[in-house]
Parts: sequence; structure tokens; C-alpha cells
Amino acid sequence: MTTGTAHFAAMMAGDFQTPGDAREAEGREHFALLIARARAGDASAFERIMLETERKVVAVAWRMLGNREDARDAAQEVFLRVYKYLDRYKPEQDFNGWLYRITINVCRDAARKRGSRLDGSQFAATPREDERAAPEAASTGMNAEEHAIRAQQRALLMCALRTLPEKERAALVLRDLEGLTTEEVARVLRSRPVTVRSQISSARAKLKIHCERLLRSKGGRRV
Amino acid sequence: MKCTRVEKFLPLYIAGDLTGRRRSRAIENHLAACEKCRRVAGEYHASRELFRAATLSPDFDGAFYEEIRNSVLAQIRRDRTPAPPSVFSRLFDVRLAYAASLASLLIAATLALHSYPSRTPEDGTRRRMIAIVNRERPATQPTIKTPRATRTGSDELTTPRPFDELARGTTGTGRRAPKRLLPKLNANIEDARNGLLSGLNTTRRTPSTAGRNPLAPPADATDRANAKEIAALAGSGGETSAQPEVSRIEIQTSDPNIRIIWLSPNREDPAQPLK
Repeated sequence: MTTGTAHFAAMMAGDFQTPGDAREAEGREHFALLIARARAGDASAFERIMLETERKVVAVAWRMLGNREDARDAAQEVFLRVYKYLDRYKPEQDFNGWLYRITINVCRDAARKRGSRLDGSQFAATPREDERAAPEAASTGMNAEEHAIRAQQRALLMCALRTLPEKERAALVLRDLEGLTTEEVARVLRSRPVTVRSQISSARAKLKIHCERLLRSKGGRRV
Repeated sequence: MKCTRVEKFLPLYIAGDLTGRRRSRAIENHLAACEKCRRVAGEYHASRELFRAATLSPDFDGAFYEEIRNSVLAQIRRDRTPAPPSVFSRLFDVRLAYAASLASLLIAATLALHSYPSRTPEDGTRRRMIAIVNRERPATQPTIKTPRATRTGSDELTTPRPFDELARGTTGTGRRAPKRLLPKLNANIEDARNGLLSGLNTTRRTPSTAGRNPLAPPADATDRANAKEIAALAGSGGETSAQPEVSRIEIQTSDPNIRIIWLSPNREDPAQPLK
């Protein structure tokens, strides 16, 4: 009854929620509940949080760091930090944004520890991707050479991503690959939206140059 | 809008990140008219799609994620479980350390109390120091801090060394006393010697009996007992002998209730001053 009254008051005040906002609020409540249980010592609640967010965390870590082992270590560290700082999370806060921020910070720390180790080999395709791509290539008539060319393209693009400055890479990953808005990216990175736009613009321009080289080499091979 | 300016905004325009509806409309109009800029915009679209396709989710297998979860949960359980105390911490527990310190102090205090009487000069020289507690006697006599008597192999009673040293103007530690104190010290020793002689012949009486402790023995009885003891030490009747074989020196300490009595063999001529 109280909820209905509040909803009606919000409607009268013109505070309408879009379906996306409603989903976001629902997700926020869901995570707030799980976090409250995890704070109380419920290990299954924290495991549930990990189950629902692990793919997102691993994907960002893999894109930021470029290889499987570093991504696994970073993901573990992210969840340990989440557990450690559960008390600092506020229920009205966006849990995904909080999680992204921790992930980006962990990846930055890991990159600093690792130093400027940079080679193309760390962006090689994962074994599962290769396994999955082989029958797909066979079914689509793609020969082994084309499959190899695609894997090489991916490795080169990941290498290009790795050459970007850290902030530009984080902004591009969050915006283009994770689908966050510019404002959300700015909140995660604790930056201004105009700065994030500048970083994204610069990163896209650099990647375009890489892709053109790649497409030229691909076209040359085909010819 | 010129092509250079449009190319500057294209990276943001292709993904809808450009702010300002008017600027977006201007770029849109320019792209509709400019073939070159339209081609560049197409390249941006293509590179973005290629990049997104190449960097899709890594798609690791379930064992990979399970390994992460198990590792994190194990670490959390390890952090929450308190580590068992080590042997070192058990040995050096704070409470145990306090108890051990207290026990050591008590043992040391007990040993000190037991060893203190054994340090008094009770040996074969028959030299004794008697402390008489007389609560009623005022501290009118001069206070002299007496050093500890040394043990000698002689069976005879000799004048304790501290007074010889005092008479010579030295202290028990060998230091010379100030010259201005020497006449006073000699006078005190003479007074003590005279008092000893008179005390051996007649029992000393206390000047007043007011405020006497009812549980304490009468002062007369105390002095009489002391005189008897002294006479026994001297080997003759303390009350009857006119010329005792021992000299008695009484010294009032800073505590009015403690008086130290030194017994030493009598000299041939007690009136002769000490050298």
C-alpha cells in the first residue's frame, strides 16, 4: 500500500521510470540484499554474488591485462577486495559501477606490478576459443588458413588495445565493450565525462589506424 | 562545417557520444554531402565492429570460473578462521608473563627477608648487636648510622671497628669524617660509655609512663632484662658488679623506637679517651 502510494506520488511529480531504470533499481535491490546477507556471514550469498558477476569481471580483466593467468589472478583479487570492503558499499550505490571500479583498480595494480611486459603472444586466443572456432570454421567452409588469419587478427587487435594508454584503454573497454554510457564510465574512472569523451575519441582513432593496417594486410593476402 | 572539423568529431559521432543535437545534425548534413568524410566514417564503423568482434568475451570454461570461486572462498575462510596460537605465543602469553613476574618478585622478597637476619654479626666473637624497642623513650640521643661489624677470629670482645674509626676520624668505609664533627663524635662516645657504666650498675628508668602500650612489657622490666642479658654476656652479675668486663654503647637511631646497643670488652681505663 505504501509502495503504491509512493509510486503514485512519484508519477504525479513526473518522476517516471523507464524500463531500463526499473531493471537497474531491481538489480540494485537484488545485490543490496545479497550483500547484506554476505555481510552477516552468509558465504552462499557471497558465492551467489560471484556467480552473477564473475564473467563480467574476468572479461574486463582479460581485456585490460591480455592473458588468461593474469585475468584469473586479477579476478580473484577483485572478489577478495569486494569481500573485504563490503562494509563500504552503500545500498543506494550502483553495484556494477562499484565492481567495475574495483576491477579497473586491480588491473592497474597488476599491470604496474607486471611492468611493461608487452608482446603479441599474451593476446593469443584461448584454447576453448580455438576448439570452438575449429568446428565453426569447418561448418562454414572456412579453411584452416582463414581460421589462422582470424586468430591472428584478434591477437593483433588485442595487441593494439594493449598499446593504448591505460586510461584510454579502460575508457574504451568500459564504453565499447561493456556498453556503459560516457557518464557511467566517468563515474567508474572518477573522471569528468568530457575527459572520458576525449579519451574514447583518441582511442578509437588509434584503433582505426590499426584496423586499417590489418584490413590492408588481409586484402593483400586475399589477392 | 569543414571536413577537418567533421573528422575530429567522427570518433564520437559514430557511437552517439557526441553532445549537442545541433552539432550532430551539422555532421549528419556534412556526411550526406561529402563522399570522403562518409568513407572515413565507414572506416570508423568497421574498425569498431572488428574490434568488438575480436575482443568479445573470452569464453573460458566453467572449470576456470570454479577455480576462481573456490580460491576466493578458501581465502576468505582462511582469513576468518583465527590461526592457532604458536608455541612461542603460548610460552610468552601476557597473562603468564605477568604471573611469572609476580611469582619471581614474591620469591625474591621472601629470600631477602630470610637472608637479612643472617647478615647480622652473630659469630664466635660473642659480639652482638641488640636492638631494643622502647616506644616510650624519646630520641634525645644523637643519631649515628653504624656500619656493619666485621667478622674476626678472636674470641674476645673487642671494641667494634666503627667506633674506633669514628674516634680516628674515619668512617666505616675508610673515609675521614669532617674535622668539625670530631669533637662532637668523641663527646657522644664518652657519653655513651658513661651511660653504659651507669646502666650496668643501676637499672635505667623511663622518665614517664604516660601513653604506655598496655600490651608492651613495663619499661623497667625491659631494661632489667637487657641488663641481665648484658651481665650474662659479661660473665658477671650485671646488677652487682662495679667494674663490668664489657662496655655497653647505646646508639639511638633515627627511628625513636630502635636503639642499638654495642657490647665490647672493657678497657683498663674507661675514662681514657679513644684514640
